[in-house]
Amino acid sequence: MTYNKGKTLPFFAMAVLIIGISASLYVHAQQSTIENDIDSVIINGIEFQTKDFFNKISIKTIETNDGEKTGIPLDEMLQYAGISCISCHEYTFKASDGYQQSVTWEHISKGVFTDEKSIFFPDLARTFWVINIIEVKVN
Amino acid sequence: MMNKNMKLFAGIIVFGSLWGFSECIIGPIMSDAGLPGGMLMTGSFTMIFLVLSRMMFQQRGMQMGMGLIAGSLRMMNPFAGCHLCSAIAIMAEGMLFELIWNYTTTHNLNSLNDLTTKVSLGVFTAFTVYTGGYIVTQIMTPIVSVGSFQIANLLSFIPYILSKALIVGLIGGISIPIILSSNKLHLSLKETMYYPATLGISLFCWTAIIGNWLMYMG
Repeated sequence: MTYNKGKTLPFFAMAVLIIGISASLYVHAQQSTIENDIDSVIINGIEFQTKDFFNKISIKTIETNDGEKTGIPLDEMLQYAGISCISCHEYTFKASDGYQQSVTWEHISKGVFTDEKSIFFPDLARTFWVINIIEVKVN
Repeated sequence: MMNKNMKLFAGIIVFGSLWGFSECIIGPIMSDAGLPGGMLMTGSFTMIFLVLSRMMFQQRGMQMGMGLIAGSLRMMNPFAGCHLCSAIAIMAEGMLFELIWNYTTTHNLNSLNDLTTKVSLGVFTAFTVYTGGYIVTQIMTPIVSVGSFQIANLLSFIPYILSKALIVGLIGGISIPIILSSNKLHLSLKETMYYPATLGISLFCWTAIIGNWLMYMG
């Protein structure tokens, strides 16, 4: 069977362009519908103002692969949010662009939440650092 | 035969080292300057090294070897962000390029006769290499880091990856035809200069990266 690469390559290129354009439109539409209150984050279904966390909880600085990161300890933030048995759960952090990562308690206890609504961990790869968080789900 | 294999091995080392050097040094500079470093790197520098080496050596498997070399270099660059994520992505990009070009081009690239074919190949290659590398990173990094992976986390982010890949595909649609056109320049290196040049360039790349790592550790 002969294979005409000259005719199929443009087809493949058009296909990926259509996929990319569709994805871009979807992402744009999704981001415009998300009400991203810059000063709040939803934790376990309840909305909290981030300034309340920073008023009540002392900040700390951790050392990461990308330098020092300063924020409030994640475990204290979750405790302040009223989650019972915080060490019993795994947590999923969701960002405004749809990115999300799940983190176990072992790493939660070492991470920080910054005033830019981002989380950083000293012992996890950058894949787990979620920027501009809008929601935290308790699993 | 031995000389040809040695030449190929030296080519893998030098092109892989250049690729890794650009990922470790130029990529972070772009990111620090506020530019989308990952997308620009894949669409331009990565494609340059992969396609140029393919044109010069016409040897299948070479780009996969380059990915291993470049990924290894990236692992030694801890101060430039997530080196584990990037190293895995680079190796995956090399393998994906091999798969795409083995299936869509002939051994000596004679099938790439017209501009439409070249642009199409550029768009498809850059888009798929970027998407594949990103997805592999998102799967492998959690597995390597914490021993588990949750597919829901990846699926929710797929549209965002594909939207970024669109930009990379468009860059590739420009860069790859330009690179393929460079064969008309008939660039060549004297036989006596080949090994010293490849050794020198590779040493420079590795020394620069390791030196930066040592400075960072110090």
